[in-house]
Amino acid sequence: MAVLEIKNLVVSVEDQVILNQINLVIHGGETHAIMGPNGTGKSTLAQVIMGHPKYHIDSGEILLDGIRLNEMSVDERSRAGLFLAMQNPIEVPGVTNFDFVKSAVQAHLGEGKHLRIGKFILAMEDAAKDLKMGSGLAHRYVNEGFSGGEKKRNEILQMKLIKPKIALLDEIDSGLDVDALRIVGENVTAMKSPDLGLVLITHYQRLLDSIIPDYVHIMIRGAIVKTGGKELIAKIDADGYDWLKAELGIDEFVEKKKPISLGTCATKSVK
Amino acid sequence: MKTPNFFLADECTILFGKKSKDIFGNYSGIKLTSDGWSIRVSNQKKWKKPVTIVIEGSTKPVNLHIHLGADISVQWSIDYLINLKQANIGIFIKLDKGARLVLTNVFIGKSNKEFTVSRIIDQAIASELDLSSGIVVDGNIKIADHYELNGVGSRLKATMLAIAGQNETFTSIQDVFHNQPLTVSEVTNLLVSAKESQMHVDVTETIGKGNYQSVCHQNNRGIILEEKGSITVEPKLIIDEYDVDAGHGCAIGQINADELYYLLSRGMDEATAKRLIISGYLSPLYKRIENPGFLKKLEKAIERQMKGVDY
Repeated sequence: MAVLEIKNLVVSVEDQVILNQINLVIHGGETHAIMGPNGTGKSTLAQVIMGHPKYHIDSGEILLDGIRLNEMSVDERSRAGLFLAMQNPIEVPGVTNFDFVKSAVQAHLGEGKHLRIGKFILAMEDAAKDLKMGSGLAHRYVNEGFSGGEKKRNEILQMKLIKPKIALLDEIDSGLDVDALRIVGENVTAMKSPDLGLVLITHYQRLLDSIIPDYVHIMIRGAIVKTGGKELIAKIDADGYDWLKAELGIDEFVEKKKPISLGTCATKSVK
Repeated sequence: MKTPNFFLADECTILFGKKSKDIFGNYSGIKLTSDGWSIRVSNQKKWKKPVTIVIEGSTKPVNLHIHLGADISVQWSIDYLINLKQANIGIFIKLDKGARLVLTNVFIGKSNKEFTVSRIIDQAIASELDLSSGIVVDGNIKIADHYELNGVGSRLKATMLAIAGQNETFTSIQDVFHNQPLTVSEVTNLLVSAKESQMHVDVTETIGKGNYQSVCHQNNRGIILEEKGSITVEPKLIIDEYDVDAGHGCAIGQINADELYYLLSRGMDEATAKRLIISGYLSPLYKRIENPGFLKKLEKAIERQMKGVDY
């Protein structure tokens, strides 16, 4: 059974702490939900766990099955068993979904092992059927021209085929209509097993009605300020986060704005 | 370069070279003149699949003249197999009123001698040219394109994909002239600089006064794979008419960081991820190649150009 441990994690960007002393343990078979107001660091936490190069860990550790991930590259973390279903899945022009997913699955097989194409094609077709994604999916370019809901379902399709140990689903419910949410919920729930730990990042109860969490964590201003069970979801849905801010004495955000240059155009040259 | 068997065996291939092969029959209008090969098509004929014209490289200048009569519509590939001492190449295309040519034009091979490809296109009223070019030449090459939209409502779509490797130089000068109202051009350049290659593209689109409601757009994208590579693009619009729709853009850089992160997050190592992204970049050209044997050959040539790239 896999274990993801996050110990005293502190991350800052340009001298501003964006994740502050995060502690979290996710075991295989468990489903954790992370909720919180906009801009509190939920997605950042997912990206930091995955190893996004934009973020630098100031202190603390991320461990998967006791192995420290801090120094591992993004692809090494993926091959170690992490998966991040992204909030905004990236479009990769010209690369077919088939080639993309095949390369991803091949990468997880390890050295010297080769993908059995026939078996893979059947598995991909089955996964697409489960997610009601249509037969042309394999030949479409990755996320290009996909609706918001298709992009999210495509993330789940990849997850089904890659079979990670720990999956982080970052706002997988955004952009999904009621039917699509049900399909995603059913598929993710069907994947629940002692071999898979789930972290759901969401704003809404509706996802957590489909995929029932064991633990609910609330993040505010880069820190997990409260952990509880399902009962927290209903409370947040009814009352928002103000009661919690008041309870913990947290002030409202003051957004810092920085001027940015749009640059100039016409001729561009790189040497 | 020796002509591969997959071309010789293909029933829809015309070969200009030592083993010349003509499938045009009575419709052909193919002539070998003192100025090179000439193809004139005056009658519409249905083909089982797009026709491929293969031209063996030569140490003497070779010209190819194509003339499509009124309302003729064809889909062709013209593939040049470059000679080690390749001489300059000329391609002259004339499209009469309402003619439509979907053309894939690939240059592949190795030359130890720098050479120039000149393409001159003359389009009459309501004619359409959809040109997709692939330049995968191991050697120094200059492409000079001159498009004349001489007929009202004539349309041009020109997409060029070029890959340069080692310390090669690639230069492309493209001039598009909108000489009549309601003319449309869409120019796209996709460039990949591997190793220490130097690529330069200069695109100028001109809409003269009175050529109202003309549309011209150009899009230039370049990927530099290694630090010592270079791509420069000069996208220019010269417009002397108010009632037009025009735009140009240029983006040059390394492989898109977001795309790379996405692929890495799926477990692919950096080299595999970059190769896959580049293959996607090249897909507009791959899609146009009908002959599977030639597609494989093209893919291998591209691999050779990228060989040794420090991903």
